Amino acid sequence: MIQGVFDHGAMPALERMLTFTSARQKALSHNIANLSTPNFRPVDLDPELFQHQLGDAIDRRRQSRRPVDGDLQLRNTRQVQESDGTLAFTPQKGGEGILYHDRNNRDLERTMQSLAENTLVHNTAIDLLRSEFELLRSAIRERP
Amino acid sequence: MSDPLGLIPNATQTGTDAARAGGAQRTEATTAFRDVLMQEIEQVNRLQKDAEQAIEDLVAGRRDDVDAVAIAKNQADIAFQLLLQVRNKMADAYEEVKQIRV
Repeated sequence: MIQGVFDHGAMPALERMLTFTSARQKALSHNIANLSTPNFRPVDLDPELFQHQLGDAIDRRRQSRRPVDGDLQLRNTRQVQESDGTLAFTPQKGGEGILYHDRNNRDLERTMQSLAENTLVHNTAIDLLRSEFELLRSAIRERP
Repeated sequence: MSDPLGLIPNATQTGTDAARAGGAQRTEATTAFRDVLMQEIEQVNRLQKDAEQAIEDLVAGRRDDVDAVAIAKNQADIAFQLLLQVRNKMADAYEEVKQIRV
């Protein structure tokens, strides 16, 4: 019954988005930290792939018996695997960009752009999730 | 008298025929309070559902109008809080009526 409270509406989707943006942040910071490491190839998580995966799960839940309740069931892909409600991320090596003489495939501008994008998505998801929790809280308190 | 709002489905069975007739006349002339209330609850529910769906679509990358989604979500929240406050006022009024000695 308690789990049902947290599996309602857009909450599962928002939670997964947050875990994804945290994992992507980690991958991008890893790239920045290794900006001058020889032979380093940057890794990244593809947000579009993840959104597609999430969209499929949302569609499946909408077609189920109770369209707004219940957990999302993500289908596993190469970069995201879900088991027992925890998401595991495997950042993939990007093949594009210029290869420098130290055989490091860095691209600072693109990394910073991805970082900014990721932060924006993260903050939006946090804002929305906070308002979901706030609504639940006011329903429990019986005071707005 | 026992059910002025008509909220209890079979309350009229205990009332007199005259009272029932009077009640029926009233509901014909004006919209019953219950109907108004139920309509509002429906509307709040729909706003909430639409907002949740909009958020899901945003997260899935099917729409990119973050501002519209945020506004929809906030409107749904305000609507719910208004309904909550109406419910509180009604509960307060009920408590007050309960104190009246007959």
